Amino acid sequence: MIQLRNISKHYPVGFGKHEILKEVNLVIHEGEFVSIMGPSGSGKSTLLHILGLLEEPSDGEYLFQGELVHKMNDKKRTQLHRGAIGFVFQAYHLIDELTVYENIETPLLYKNMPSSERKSRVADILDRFNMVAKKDLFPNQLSGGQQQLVGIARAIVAEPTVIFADEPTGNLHSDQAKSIMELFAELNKKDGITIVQVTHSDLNAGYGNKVIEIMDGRVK
Amino acid sequence: MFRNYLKIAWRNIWKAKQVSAVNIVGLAVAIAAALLLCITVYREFSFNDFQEKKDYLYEVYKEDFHADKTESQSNMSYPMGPALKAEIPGIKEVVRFANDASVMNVGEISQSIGLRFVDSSFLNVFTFPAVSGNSALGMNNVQITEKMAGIFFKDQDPVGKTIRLRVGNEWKSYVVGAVMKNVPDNSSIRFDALLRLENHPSFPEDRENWGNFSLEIFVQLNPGVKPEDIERRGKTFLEKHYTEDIERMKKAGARKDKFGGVQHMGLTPISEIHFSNNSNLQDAKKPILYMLLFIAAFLLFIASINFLNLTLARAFTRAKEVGMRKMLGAARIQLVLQLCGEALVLFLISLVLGLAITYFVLPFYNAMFFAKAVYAFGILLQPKFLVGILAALLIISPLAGGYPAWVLSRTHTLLVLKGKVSSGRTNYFRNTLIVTQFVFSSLLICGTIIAWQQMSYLRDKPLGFNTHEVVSIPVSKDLDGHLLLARLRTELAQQPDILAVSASGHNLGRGKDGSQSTSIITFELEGKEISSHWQAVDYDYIRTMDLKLRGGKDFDPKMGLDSFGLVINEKMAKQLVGAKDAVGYRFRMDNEGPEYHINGVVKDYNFKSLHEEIGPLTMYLNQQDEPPAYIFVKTKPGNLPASMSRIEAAFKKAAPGQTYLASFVNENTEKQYKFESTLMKIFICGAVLTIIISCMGLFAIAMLTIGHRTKEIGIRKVLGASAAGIAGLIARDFLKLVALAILIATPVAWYVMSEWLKGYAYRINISWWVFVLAGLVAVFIAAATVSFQSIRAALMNPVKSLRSE
Repeated sequence: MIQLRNISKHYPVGFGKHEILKEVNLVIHEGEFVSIMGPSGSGKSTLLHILGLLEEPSDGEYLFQGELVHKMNDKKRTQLHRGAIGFVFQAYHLIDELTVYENIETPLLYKNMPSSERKSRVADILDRFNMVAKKDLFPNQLSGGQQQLVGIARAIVAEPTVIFADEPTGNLHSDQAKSIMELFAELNKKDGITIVQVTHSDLNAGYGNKVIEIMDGRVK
Repeated sequence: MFRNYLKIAWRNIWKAKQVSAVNIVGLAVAIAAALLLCITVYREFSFNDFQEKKDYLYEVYKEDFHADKTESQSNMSYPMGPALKAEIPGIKEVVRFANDASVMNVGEISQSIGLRFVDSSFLNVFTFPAVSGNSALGMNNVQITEKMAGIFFKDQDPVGKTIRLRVGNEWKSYVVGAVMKNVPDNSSIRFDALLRLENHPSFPEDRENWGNFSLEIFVQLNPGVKPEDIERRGKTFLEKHYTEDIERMKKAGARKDKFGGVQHMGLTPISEIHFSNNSNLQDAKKPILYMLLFIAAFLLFIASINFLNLTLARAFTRAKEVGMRKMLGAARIQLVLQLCGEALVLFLISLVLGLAITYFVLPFYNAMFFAKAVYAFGILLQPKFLVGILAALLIISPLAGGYPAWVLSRTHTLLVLKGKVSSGRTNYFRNTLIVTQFVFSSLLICGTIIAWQQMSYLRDKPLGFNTHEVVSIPVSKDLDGHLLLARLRTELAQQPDILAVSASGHNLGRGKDGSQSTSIITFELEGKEISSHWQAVDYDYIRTMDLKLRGGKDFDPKMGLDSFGLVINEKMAKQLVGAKDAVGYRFRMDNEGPEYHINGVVKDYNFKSLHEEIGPLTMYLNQQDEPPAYIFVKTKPGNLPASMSRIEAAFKKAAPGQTYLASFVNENTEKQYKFESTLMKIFICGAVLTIIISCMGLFAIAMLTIGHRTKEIGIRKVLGASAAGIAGLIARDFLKLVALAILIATPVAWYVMSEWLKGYAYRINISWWVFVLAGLVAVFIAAATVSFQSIRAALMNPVKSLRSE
């Protein structure tokens, strides 16, 4: 489903360039739970951003669901963000002005889903994550773990085929981290969602079925 | 979706309460000011709109093209009306009417009213419907308005009842024929009661007199007839009836109008008479109205700049939300719509608040600028106005909301995720807008100071004659001026506080009768063309006006009726004899004419407004066939009001039944600067509002900037910066902008104001300190605005500000 061919990424620095990714080749199949690991500055976040269509590679080809990404127009990319791709972040990135319910509802709004279907979808998710009682609270009224739960709920509400998670447990303590990782594993097994996570922790990587180690911009 | 947007809009407004408040209040004030100005302009432009036949109605005026000037008047003669209808095809109806103030009496109630003597066609041509009775105006009928009916007849039906009116100098009885609807507020033609023109006291003697110009004439043209056609035929018409006048004008070198005549008969559409210089009914000036519109737009512009700036400044805090929305699949257009929607919500709140402000301020506004309640809030509810407001709203919100929305929606998602949102990119734009606001503020401050200086210069400049203790009394045309003067002299002779009484053909300044006049004679003398103001005066004029005699003497009753003696001013003396002594100089204006001699020379004085230089002036003694038009009475300083009422009593005795329109000469001379003082008020109000709105913006921007720089300020403090140093650091950035604005505004203000001053023969020099002062004012206001925020920032506990990161 995801195929990277000789992907490189570099930024201009003065007269030279700063290389972040060097000729990365990678294949991720549908239903996999992949962990990208590596030290700080090794390029793992950049790789995730490229995978998530947030950043353009400088060189190489990227096929998402068999389509060449650099040939897609903005509209098509927005379409993918609406339906196929979900994101989870270390800093949760919930919209502060919206309640839990509204945060989860937002992706569906952009999919132009009818109101009744939207309501039942959000209700289902809230139910599944045991958050019904908290649906009218604002993000700053929740603990970190609960915020991340909302973040995940928001990522899966539009039923994406793949979730990209950037150190989803980085800001959480170990108990919370454990339950979040169990949730990811469940989503992967039960719902068949492909999951790509960036992580520092071997423990977290253990929930997945494939590890990509990255060092100085190269995949080992 | 839409509800979601609204909800977010509301939460965002609520979250940034201070900024939203600045936005809303600033806009609301600007909207209120703009609405007030628009109401004013709208009302002025709606004058006479209610006339159903307005497309065919024109007022007749006459222009005389003299060699040196064009004289225009809309006073016409009696026989002209019927002659126009008979001789010029295309005219369907002609209406003549004359104004008069009169006293109406029914039983015990007496009150002065506005009376109009009209042709019977008046009510067919103009749209003044009757409420009850028969609107056809019979010879012995009087038509009164509902208002008058209410005053004189209370609940009774007035139709068929008899009332008494003072016409000329006698009481006459008339039968009420109809009660008319009250004259609409926006009518140029106003009346309380109507009588047939045939009842006018001067009708019998003037009905065939082409030389007495005292009526207004309106014509109704047949459909399809162009006013130019009538004007063209007007040439032949005037040549037929004013042959002698035209011959005389031609001899004096008159110019020709576009149809080849030296006299021109023009038509002013009824929709224009409110503004036309050719009409006696003129009551407004279009340039002022356009200026008001400009100021309205300008205030909205300044407030919109605030809006733009504050929204841009908040982009920093909004970036995360926008970035996330993009990531969740929001298309750019959706984001722009959402942000524009927020702008619209804010604008709507401002509009409601603005309307409320307008409602409460309107009475004060009326009182301050117009001294009467002319502008009603109700105008705003007319469909045209509502559409206008809606249109303005729909134009401004996307403009002011659109750009920030566009900038925000440009936010790069990735930068948000990496926590690198910079608001730096929009700073140039933001600073430009701040500078623009302060350029305008400085301009208006400079303009206000200079206009103020010029005004007080005009007010305080000695004019060369006594203005404070001299009363000027206009003499109505139907009175014998000589007789009135003689009577007043006798009446006032015994009064100890009356020093002198005299008269003249021209007023000084503009009196309560509202008229100003000028006569100029031109003649050839020893090959030179001599031109001079030409003014009839009575005995004692020099003493009454406190003119300084440079040589010779005043007109004296002891010398008898000296028809050929003249008193001239220095300018005229220089023209006649150069540096030599003019007293005793004898000359003729033309070969057959009488020989004049110079009796006295007076020091130059400003007998015209200070817009003009002092010109040559020649005064001659009032002749029997030329009754004085203004009587001047000099009083003893001390108790002027008491003297004034004594003069009034004498006047009432000398001319019973006449309205007393006297005023002190200084009131009259100040009236010449009415335009300037209105302009002045507009300037001041514009300046104050602009400064307030700009400063509100600056205040909020300072607040947001400090919000962004909390961490920097915290670190600086930990590193040992003093509170003053930090306050200075913040304030400096803004004061630089204000200083730049002053630099830009100074030359512009200098140029504009010197152009304006060129309209005055007597004017101040613009001094450099005006700009320094204006600059200081602007800097001070800006510094005060920013300092509140910067001091707060400087006093913040650094531990708190660092922890917040």
